[in-house]
Amino acid sequence: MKRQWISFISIAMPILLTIASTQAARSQELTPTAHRVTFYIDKTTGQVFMRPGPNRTPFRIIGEVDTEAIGRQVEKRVEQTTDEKVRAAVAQSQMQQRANYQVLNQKVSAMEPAWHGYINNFQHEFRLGALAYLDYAYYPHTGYGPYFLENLNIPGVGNNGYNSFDVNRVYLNAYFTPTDDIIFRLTPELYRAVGTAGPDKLGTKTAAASNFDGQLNVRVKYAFLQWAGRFADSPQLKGGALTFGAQPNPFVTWEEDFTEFRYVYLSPWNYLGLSSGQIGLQLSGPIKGQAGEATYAEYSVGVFDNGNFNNGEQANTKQAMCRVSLYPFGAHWRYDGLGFTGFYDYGYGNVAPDSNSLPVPLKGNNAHFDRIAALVHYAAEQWNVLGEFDYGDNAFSLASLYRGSGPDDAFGIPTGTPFDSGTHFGNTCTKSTPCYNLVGTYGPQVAAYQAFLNNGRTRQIGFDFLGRYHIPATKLTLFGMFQWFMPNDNVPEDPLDFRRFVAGISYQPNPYVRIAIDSQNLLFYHSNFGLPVSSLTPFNYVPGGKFNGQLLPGNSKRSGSLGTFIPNIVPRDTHAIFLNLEFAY
Amino acid sequence: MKLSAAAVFVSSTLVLSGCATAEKIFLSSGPKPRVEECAEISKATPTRYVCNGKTYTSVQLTNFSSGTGL
Repeated sequence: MKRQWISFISIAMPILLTIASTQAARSQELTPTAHRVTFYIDKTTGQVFMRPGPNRTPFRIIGEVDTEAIGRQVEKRVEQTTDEKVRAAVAQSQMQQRANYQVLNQKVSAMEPAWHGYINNFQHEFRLGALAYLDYAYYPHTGYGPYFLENLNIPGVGNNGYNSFDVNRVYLNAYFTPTDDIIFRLTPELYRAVGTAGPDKLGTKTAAASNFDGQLNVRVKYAFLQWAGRFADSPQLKGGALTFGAQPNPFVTWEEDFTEFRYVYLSPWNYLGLSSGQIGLQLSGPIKGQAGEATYAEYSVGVFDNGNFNNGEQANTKQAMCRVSLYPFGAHWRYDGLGFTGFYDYGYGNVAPDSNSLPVPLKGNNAHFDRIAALVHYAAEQWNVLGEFDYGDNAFSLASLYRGSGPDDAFGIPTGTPFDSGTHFGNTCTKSTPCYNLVGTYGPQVAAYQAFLNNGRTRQIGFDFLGRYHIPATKLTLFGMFQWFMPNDNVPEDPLDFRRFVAGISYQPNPYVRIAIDSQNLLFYHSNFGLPVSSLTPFNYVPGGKFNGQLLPGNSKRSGSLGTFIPNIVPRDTHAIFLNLEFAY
Repeated sequence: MKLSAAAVFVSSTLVLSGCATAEKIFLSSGPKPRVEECAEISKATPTRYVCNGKTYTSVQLTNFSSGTGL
């Protein structure tokens, strides 16, 4: 056994030394590598062999560690570990980022409705529209009287052939509806200023002409707040609203909408001087049946300034208006079917209390006024028709008659050649107190009209018919309006009794534009006659009184002069052909 | 003769083409409801019409006529 171990060591030692020297030598040149050697020892003889065999046991000897390899392995392992860690970190970061992005997205989405909401709500809470009435009119026969359409102040008698292009109405309608039950409407409109303000002085030697007269100015037509929440929960009364401010009055706009032709002609009471706009407080709405579908009645009741929307209020009283429309068979849309409408308006002249309290024989324009209209109407989709009876007290004055234009004498400017010496028509005429002539002037006629219309005890009666008919399968609609009016039926034969009629055809190429050609006529239908001064005295005509600085015909102290006839008392007619254009959005 | 025939031909063409144009302009056409067959019930913003018992605005009727419906 001892001899076997000595044999092993004598063989193994040189081998080990060889390996070590080899490794040492190599270590000077190369990086040492991990090295393992296996010997095989014969169990019986103890001999050491290099190769395995029977009865041989393996004997392994590990040499020096290969640090480079280990380093690479470690590096590789570290890299792997690092990669894994980095990947894990990146994945986690990405996950976190996605989560953060989701949260951010939610926040941004939560922010967007506020911005989108503002825009969306704005477009649902605000509406802007425009309305324009434009026309060309040719007057083969001019006269004095109310205008056919707003802002049309034509030169009167003696101007046959007068024609013009006009802008007679322009609205810009802005509606604000911040909630379902509140509307604020603002409507500025164009109007033509008429007046002769004097030139403007600049410094001591310079002047500039006035540009007031004839300019198209802007004023506010409507500015009101409307609340419709009071009856929102009632199916029968839903749609009722309280309106405060400058607003459409209960009747004129309702009738204009019924006619569908406001761009062509004025409705009867509007033509006579009742404005479509008033400033005040109004309650209006429908009354529906049990199911809340059909409307059986409509009401509009309000209290307003005595002045129109374009006048400053002076009075300490107010006017009240009320309209009730009944639809006995139920109306499924506005005006549908047969309807009966009644309108009542009661008010006072727009005069300051201190002026109104002054004692006068007759109140004249300071007196109370009232207007009544009773209508029967029927509307279908293709046609409609309306008949109206009008009644009024002190509701048509000299200013109403000459709303379009009138003779100078109606505006304080005497016309004609006066008598400035001698005695004429019962009066002594001088240069300082001339007398009106009977010819070549409108003075005595206007004084007669003033007596008939402004005495504070006038009574008006009128009848009207209007309607439209759509020609089937075309874009054309026929329309017409007839008005008969007696400005004071207390006058036995009133020269101012008139008839107005409009007839024409309208073309509608699209929902925004309409064009009409029509004839418009104002006829003072009595044959001309002379009016004795004696028939005027009950109406507050003062014979020999001063008018525009001149003495009127007649003198109470000279009874013979009361037989003086004022000639040509019936005014001239006005005829016109219109081309009307409407734009509505 | 030739001249008068030519004149008749030209004038007929002008009249007929004018008639055809006039028909296009004045006759009702296009998808329904058509504004000319409706009753205007309110001059508001927008204007409202009634056609066959239903209420439409001017904007809706324009959409119908252009084929984009409501």
